[in-house]
Amino acid sequence: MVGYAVRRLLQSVPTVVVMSIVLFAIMQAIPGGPMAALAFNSHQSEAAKLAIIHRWGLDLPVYEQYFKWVGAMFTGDWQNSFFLNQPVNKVIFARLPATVLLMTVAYALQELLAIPAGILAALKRYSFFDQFVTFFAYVGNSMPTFWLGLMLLMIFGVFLAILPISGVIDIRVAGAPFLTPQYNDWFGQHPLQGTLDVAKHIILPATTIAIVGIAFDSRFVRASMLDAIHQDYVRTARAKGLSERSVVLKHTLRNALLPLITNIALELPILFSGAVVTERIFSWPGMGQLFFQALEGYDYPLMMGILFLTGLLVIFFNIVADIAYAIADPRISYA
Amino acid sequence: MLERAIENQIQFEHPTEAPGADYDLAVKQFSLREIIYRRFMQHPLAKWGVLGLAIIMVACYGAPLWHTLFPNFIQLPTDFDLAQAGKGPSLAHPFGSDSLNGHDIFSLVLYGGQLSLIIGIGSMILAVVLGVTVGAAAGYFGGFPDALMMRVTDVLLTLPALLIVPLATRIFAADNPFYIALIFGFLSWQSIARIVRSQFLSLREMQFTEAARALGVPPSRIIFRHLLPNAVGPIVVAFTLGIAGNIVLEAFISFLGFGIQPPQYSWGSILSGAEEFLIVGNWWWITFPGLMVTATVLCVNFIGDGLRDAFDPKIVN
Repeated sequence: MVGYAVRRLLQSVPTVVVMSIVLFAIMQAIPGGPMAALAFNSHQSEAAKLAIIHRWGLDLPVYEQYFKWVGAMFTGDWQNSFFLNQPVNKVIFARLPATVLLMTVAYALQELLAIPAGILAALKRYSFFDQFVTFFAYVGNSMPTFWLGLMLLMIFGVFLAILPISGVIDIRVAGAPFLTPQYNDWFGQHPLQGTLDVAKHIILPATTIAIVGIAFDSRFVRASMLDAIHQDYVRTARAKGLSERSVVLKHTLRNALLPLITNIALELPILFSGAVVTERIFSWPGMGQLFFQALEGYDYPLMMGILFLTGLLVIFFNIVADIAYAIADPRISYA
Repeated sequence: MLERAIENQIQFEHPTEAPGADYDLAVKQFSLREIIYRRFMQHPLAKWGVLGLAIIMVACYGAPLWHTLFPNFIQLPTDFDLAQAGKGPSLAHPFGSDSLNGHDIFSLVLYGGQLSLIIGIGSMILAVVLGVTVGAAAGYFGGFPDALMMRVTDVLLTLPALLIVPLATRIFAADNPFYIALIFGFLSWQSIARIVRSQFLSLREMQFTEAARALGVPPSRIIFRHLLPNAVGPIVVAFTLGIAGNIVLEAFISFLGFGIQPPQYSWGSILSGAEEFLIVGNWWWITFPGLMVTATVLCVNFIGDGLRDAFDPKIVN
């Protein structure tokens, strides 16, 4: 088992290397290269420009620049953000909790609804409920996430005005931005009020992400459930005279939900993309919003940092999913 | 299957006579193409998808004609009337007018569809060309090209397209639809490459490939004449579903202002600037172009599902 995990980790090393090359290439593809970003000020003298170029090693051969950059990324020196003027990793890690919170809540909501819906649709195949789930899946899959978010915002935030439309907390109540020391102090004193406040703010963005996910996952669970129902061992279980309840819960469901484990890893980029979109729509102070701010401000170190971290996280969760699958499914040999 | 059954039955009833010997009884033999067509039409939603998409395409690409026929109802994208700005849906403007300049949104949706559809379709044509080339080379030759390709697709699947596309359009300062389609195409080929690769890995071990190789057929001919036709089904399905994905992605990117920009209109760029007016209750500006995207993508997804069923050899009626 440990051997399998180590081997799987080693297998991901080339992926990480290629990813770093791709990101480096993107940075070089910026017209004028990173040089333009650093030495763009036309008021600088030629000597000052050359000094900047030399200081950042931009006069070195490309491959040396690459190794310097990779070395810096792995030792945690992610440079300063141009417009926030703070170390990039500090900026990103300050925003990460909000994104993780949103993704976790959205994913939990999504699975809580998608798994039962998929199972019921499979058990009552071609029933009205099944048709409804199919219809919902088609429409949910076809709606642009950003548009769905805007529609929900419009209906529940503007016309009905029952839910807040932006941010993660009400700053007038808390008195400080999310996760600042002052906010943490306030949250420590008012845990219930603070939780309710976040819960109220998270409903719309999380629902937006979850609806798209439910559309996909309910179909997935349904198909995998139908596949399991027609297996020989299920017929055997029925023939033994087991109750339908036991057949479904013990024999079918456990096998049907197995592929869902790998599905989590495959869905992670989709989930993250959903979070990026909804963060932009609902001004949720997470990584996605940060990325678009960086993009608008031509803040290349920040963009590279976010892309690098995203890539690393996705690769890491792919490995976790593979290992989890190997543990859950005894047929996978990890010798 | 049904045809075979009928044939057997006929032979069973008249064991000594060849069918159609002295009376006219022709059992129709279906070609593969006909079987795929029949299966596609049997899908409950696919034909409606074709119909819907055809209507949308005729409406969008016929927009200049509608404009000459009804110059007041369908306006050019360059026409606007400030007096109409921010007016809700009415008979003259069924989708209302935008709140900044007073464009008729219905006309913009028709003209905008031209760019959205061509970007979706064009980018996936490029993606198919790239994906088939890379996937075929990797799957047929194996070894180092295969390993390299797998790593590159891994990375492209790792980095969310949603982050890479706006970055790329910003880097290349691309607000030209041609470049945007190019960027979308360069970021959509990896799933097709994977499909082609996995198909080729199994197809190249089959006996007909071995026979072709034994006869001295060059690799390029084996790939294009013997292997590729067998992989067409999954490629067509991925092509169709990719169009849907890229139409949605274009809408989002242009909505944010990183893609097509007004005064060029796509379904996304119609919406740029609409967000601020949502808060004051201008619901129509966002709703109708978005509904149009949803309807189009729904039709494309219906077609994609129908094609998947039609090409799937495992499903027999």
